[in-house]
Amino acid sequence: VEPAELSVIAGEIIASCTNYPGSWHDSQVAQGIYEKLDTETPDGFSLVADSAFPQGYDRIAGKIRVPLKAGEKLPMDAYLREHAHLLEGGPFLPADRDLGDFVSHWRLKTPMAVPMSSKHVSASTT
Amino acid sequence: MGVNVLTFQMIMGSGFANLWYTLPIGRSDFDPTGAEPKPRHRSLDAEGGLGLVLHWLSSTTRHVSLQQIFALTPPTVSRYLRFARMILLRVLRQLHDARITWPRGEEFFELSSYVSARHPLLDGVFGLLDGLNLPCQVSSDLEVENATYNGWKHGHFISSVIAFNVKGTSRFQT
Repeated sequence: VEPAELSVIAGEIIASCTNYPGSWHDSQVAQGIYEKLDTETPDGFSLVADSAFPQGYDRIAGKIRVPLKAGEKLPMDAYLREHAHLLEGGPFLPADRDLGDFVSHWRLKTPMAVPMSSKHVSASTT
Repeated sequence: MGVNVLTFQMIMGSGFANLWYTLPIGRSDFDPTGAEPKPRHRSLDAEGGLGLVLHWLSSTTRHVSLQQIFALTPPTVSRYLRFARMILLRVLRQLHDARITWPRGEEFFELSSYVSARHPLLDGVFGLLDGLNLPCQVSSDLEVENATYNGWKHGHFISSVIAFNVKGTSRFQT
């Protein structure tokens, strides 16, 4: 099967934090998931998020992986200098390109269209 | 978007129909002392009730439209939605397939193998994490309005963060 034919790919939900006020930042909403990453996830395993997603506090460092933002410079630290041979003609590491590709296939989408006019009708509490 | 016929029937057979026909539908707004339950008097059968609540859950339909589609009066729509939500939650909590569970032990290896099969460089990735902001109605209550306003996105939302694995089914668009 060609990947292009795949239109909808459904995963299974493994954790969710739902119905938080829209003014909250994702890092606040996701506290419960950070907790699970900290206490219920063996080292070496990680979740992938898009580049805008907050990666949580120090204790779960590396357990949420995000692709580099477009145009972002690689930090030239010792690790990267050592692995410089992995660089492939662009600002992205190959693993990172894979990551971006992966994330873009699996993004959550707003499932329903909301006509702008209906949002401003005063709420009838039923 | 929505559920397929198989899922619908599974929810129906897993207790929804039974609860729909046997539990009384609360009418405290109508009779605070507790109107006598009338389990046989339903404006919708169980299929209709599940259809109504799923329609409401998976769309931005207004109550007026639901009243027209299901041929119900406004209070009946409100009561049925409330009642159907309650028994749907009860049914889903008992359904093994509907459970949301964090992986354990060996499952981490299994789940990450699905990712590395397609993306060999992504080692140890067992799932994804993404925020979902659903647009909501602008409340006339200033505090609620303020709480739901997201300055970054310039709109009113209800926010969720969902973690999911890639062990699922693929559907094909024809």
